[in-house]
Amino acid sequence: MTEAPAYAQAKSREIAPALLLGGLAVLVCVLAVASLFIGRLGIGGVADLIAVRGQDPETFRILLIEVRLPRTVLALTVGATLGLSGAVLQGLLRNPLAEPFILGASSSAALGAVIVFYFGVAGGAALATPLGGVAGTMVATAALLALGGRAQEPLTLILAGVALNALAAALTSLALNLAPSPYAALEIVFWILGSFADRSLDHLVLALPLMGIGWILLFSTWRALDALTLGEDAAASLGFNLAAIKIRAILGCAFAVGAAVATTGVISFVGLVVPHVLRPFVGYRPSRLLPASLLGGAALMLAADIGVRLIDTQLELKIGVVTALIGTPFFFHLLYVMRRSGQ
Amino acid sequence: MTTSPHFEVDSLSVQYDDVRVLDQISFAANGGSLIGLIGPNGAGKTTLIKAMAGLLTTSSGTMSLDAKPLAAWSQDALAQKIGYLSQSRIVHWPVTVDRLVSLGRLPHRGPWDGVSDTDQAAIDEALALTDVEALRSRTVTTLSGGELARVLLARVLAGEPQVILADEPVSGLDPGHRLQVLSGLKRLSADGRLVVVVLHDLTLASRFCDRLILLHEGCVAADGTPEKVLGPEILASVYGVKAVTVSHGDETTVLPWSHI
Repeated sequence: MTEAPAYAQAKSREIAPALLLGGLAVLVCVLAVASLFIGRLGIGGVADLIAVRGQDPETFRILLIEVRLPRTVLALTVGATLGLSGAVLQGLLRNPLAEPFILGASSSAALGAVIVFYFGVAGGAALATPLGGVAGTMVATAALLALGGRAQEPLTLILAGVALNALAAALTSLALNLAPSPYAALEIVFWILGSFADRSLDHLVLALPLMGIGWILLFSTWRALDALTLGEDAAASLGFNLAAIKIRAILGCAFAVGAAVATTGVISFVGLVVPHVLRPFVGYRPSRLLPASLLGGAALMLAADIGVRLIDTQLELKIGVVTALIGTPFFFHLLYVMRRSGQ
Repeated sequence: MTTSPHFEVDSLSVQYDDVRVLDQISFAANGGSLIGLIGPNGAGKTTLIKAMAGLLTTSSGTMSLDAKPLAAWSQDALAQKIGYLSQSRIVHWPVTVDRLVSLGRLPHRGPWDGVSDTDQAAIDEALALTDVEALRSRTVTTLSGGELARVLLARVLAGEPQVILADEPVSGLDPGHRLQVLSGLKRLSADGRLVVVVLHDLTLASRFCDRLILLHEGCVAADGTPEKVLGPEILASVYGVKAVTVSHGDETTVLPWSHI
């Protein structure tokens, strides 16, 4: 009998690719502009900015170029990275629960960056933190594929992710425990929570090229992901070198997610939610899901980052906290649906 | 059709950890024949067909296609030449039948090419040959087991391979579709292709195959025409069954009857 997972039974709601990608691109542009002109609690909006520009052009420049722009570009690119890597991991592992955070890649990136922090290398070489993140993700993704990459059983992979998350959490706690001062520990904790606030142009200059390399590697797997719909043997018989594809996916995730997490901290579940929501609109084709998830991730992250600025809390909510609060119930829902269908 | 393919397997052995799954297998096969790979469960049929598709690391021995070692073929060229149907019928995403079958054209398409007229013609022919044209816009998750089996075979045929390696293409199909799929494969072999199928049904094997290769505990126990391979002594020693011979017109076939 055909296995008909319930998560996959939704009626086709396919949209023409040009319309879908065009629509998402327009949405990203609108949100990016909005992100530039919406300040905390709505203060510093367009009218305020124009007023500042008239009185003090230098403050206007600093506000727009050095404060708002890095935040907007980071939200856009980190969201795109998480959406894209979620789509690639799900296609590669043929598992709708695969996602950088659930599989332990994000927390391992954070660990890599924390180690760099902890040993104080970050002060010496600015590129060290993102590279620490890249190294952490690379180790985690390779370990994951070795532990459960060939398994047909989705739960095996999730358990491998649980183990990697536990290991990364334990080692991060160790670093906190041994932190030289409470201030250093607090700095690490706040950074891990995940935020786009207070990042500078320098952060961008470091992270963007690494994310770019990651995106190219991730996109290069697209045809093989379609073939993998038929399973690994059939994909190999269609001429795809699966070992090379896996290495490209590992390196791609390592560069993109590693650099993203090292810059913004851990932002969870975006890679789970975005591909899942967009999949019906691309006719469930893994290759078509990649550009859609890239744009969808960017749009979701920009919208969420505008949202945390507008919610009235005493301290601004960290975006990683918000995505975790929204993403966890979604994860429960997916698990429930998969269990009900006997997966 | 271009030149008829020639496949040679010479002293092939495959070992998983300490277990030798295939031991010194040798045979040669030419286009224009439908070869049945038969044998009890665990005899090594799936391993042999996977090895022939270039999907396994072999321990020793050589295989060649058109006088060129399999290892010397580029992955792309081999994918155009050999079509492999896996025993597994899991499709991981609920794509439409049309799209699933069009995956068979991937080896013929450049990275940026869409589905050309040639591709579409091959897809249509494959859908017709396996009698699944009416299902083309259905989602694969809504198909019955038999329908899915035929759709997956159509995926292989869409690549217009000269060598077709099919692992249990008719298991789980009703009698009508078993006969239909095997006569389809027979027609393809008559066109000059080499078709190798793993079969459990000895009656169908003796009816449709030009030649049978019987595997037993990783070795070739018999190789030849169905009459020769499915003789009473071999059936008794390898399968432990007694069979009766059934004749219809000028055709005869065996029917496993009782366990010995």
